[in-house]
Amino acid sequence: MTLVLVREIVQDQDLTILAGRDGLDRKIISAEVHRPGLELAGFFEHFGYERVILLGRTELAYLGEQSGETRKVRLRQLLFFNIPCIIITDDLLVSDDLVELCEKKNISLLRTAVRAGEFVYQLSSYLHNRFAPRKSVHGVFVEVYGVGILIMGPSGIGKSECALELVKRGHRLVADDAVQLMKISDSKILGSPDDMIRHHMEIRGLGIIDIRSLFGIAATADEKSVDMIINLEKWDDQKEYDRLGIFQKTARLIKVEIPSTTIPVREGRNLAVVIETAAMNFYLRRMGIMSAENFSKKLRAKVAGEF
Amino acid sequence: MKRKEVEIKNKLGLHARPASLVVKMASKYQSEIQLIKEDTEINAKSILGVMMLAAGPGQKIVVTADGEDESDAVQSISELIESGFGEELA
Repeated sequence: MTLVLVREIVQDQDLTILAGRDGLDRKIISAEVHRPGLELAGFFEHFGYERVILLGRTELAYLGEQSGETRKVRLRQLLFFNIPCIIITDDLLVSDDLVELCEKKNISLLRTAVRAGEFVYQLSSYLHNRFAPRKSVHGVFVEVYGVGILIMGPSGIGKSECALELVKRGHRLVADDAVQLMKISDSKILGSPDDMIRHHMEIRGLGIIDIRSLFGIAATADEKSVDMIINLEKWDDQKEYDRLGIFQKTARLIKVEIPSTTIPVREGRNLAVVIETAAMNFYLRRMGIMSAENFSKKLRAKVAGEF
Repeated sequence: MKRKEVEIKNKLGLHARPASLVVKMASKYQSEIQLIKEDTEINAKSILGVMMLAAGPGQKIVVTADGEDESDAVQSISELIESGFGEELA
């Protein structure tokens, strides 16, 4: 299971450490961010203490209104739980008792200049990203007319050559050889290149080439949703290939169903054109224009009319 | 399916030249061959993939192969890696 350390959010979210340096290695296991309204009022039932605690203007103002004794009790109750860290927003000042308590409990007290409402969103989307299921697959990921197409198939079938031709025709390379996938929702997967091999490609006989230097900034993209999968495989005369295209097949990637098509490869077949057409057909389908179905309907009508 | 854990022995790690040797070796076999470092899993027949691992001396890599010649594949690739690719050892 993925976990994020408090010190990582300090670095990535540019937070100031006010107290509790010894708590920087605490683990965050939830992507939720919590503003403890009811807890500060003394209600701790159902308190999910695995969440990052945010204290904004409202929470600090409420604490400020309480008598010294009540405030101490409430803070002590809050920090009695094993919370990962506390973040103060809006660059607000904090009372000494909170600083002391965090120091004593080894819970990091952090601060950001961002407003509370905005920071809740910012931090939880950052955490959601960090916790998103990931997988690396062997394939080439290209963007063709805005459609993210993951080209898969065995080594040497011509995935990279095909992507190169697509780039030459004005489409964009996202990743060659190894594609990092990240599931961001139940129906959406994002694909991106590894930092190391970003906008590079390997073409047998040429070696490693830099697509951005060769074809310019517009020839590459850093991230794209995976809209369809195209499997390249050796042409097999014994195998039946889809001749109608009425049924949309899907393939599972990190538990998400993605439309998928298998295209047989034979020497001299212009794959780039086939893939471009597949991308345009994908748009048509999404707009509700089902070429194969319409054709079949027309045929049925004609057949019915004749008899 | 065969698997074996090996350690990178040469001083410069899995840089471009050794990576190309691994890919050359892997491509001789029919099996699907993967290299795994921590949570990154790549196809051993892909040069960019192997270089992406950026494995340094002392780091451990798992070699896996699945197919008819899986035993030979795992054996020869792990021997190649453990030999240090004929380079200076760390």
